[in-house]
Amino acid sequence: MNDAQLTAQLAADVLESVANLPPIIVKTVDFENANATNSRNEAFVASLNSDEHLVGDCFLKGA
Amino acid sequence: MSGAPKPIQINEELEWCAPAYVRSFMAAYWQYGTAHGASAQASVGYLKLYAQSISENMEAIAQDTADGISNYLNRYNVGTDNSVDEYKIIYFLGRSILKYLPDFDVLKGVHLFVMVGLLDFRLQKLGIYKPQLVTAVTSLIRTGLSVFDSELGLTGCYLIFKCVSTTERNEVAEHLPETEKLRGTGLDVERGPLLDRVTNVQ
Repeated sequence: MNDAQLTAQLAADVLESVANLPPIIVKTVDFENANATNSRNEAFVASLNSDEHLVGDCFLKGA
Repeated sequence: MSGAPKPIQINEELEWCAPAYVRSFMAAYWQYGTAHGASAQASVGYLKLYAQSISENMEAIAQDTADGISNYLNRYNVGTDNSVDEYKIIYFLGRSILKYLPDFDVLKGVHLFVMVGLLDFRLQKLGIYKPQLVTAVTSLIRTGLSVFDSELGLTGCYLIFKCVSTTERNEVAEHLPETEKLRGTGLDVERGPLLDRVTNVQ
């Protein structure tokens, strides 16, 4: 198993551990004038899964 | 926004974000390791330890993430629709994972590089490139985890990236009349030397 396969396997293991979770709930209180926040951006989530090389490139700046 | 409290389930967000941390960790560690002469064997070892730490503590990490987001939303009076945005998931999951990692500075440091890298990646997908910001934050991480915490606290890192992401919307303010720009700042809104000085700041 090469590094890429190992990484994929470990990521899949983590995903499985998430899949076994009970419902994880964020609780907000009732605000009169709360500021709305953004909801999930599906395009970003898709790109995160497909552009792995780009994710890696981010770290050149900090390494 | 008003009405009944809205409990929001974040399992779907955790499903994309937790594996993203694992995939990105390997890329980050390779770059860190290359710069510091680490062996490939050490890189693989750290990756396994990293993923194992997350898998074995996933429920606690997930609950901690939800608590962190809940505290943030309620403390800052921020409402939400029916899901939580990517910046919060990336940041608060990252902070929660950090608590459950073995006490190796390299492991924790690279993990925080990953967190910053994912936040930066989110900005890049909006066409926003802030290399100096990333360099500044990662420099802080390299200085030490305690320094990172003391400088940025519980939410500072999240707030920086989130605010940068809304920069385009903030540009609208540039077109407001001068009196509107200064409303609420406590400054004299009548034009004069002070106002000229304030508005000339780039």
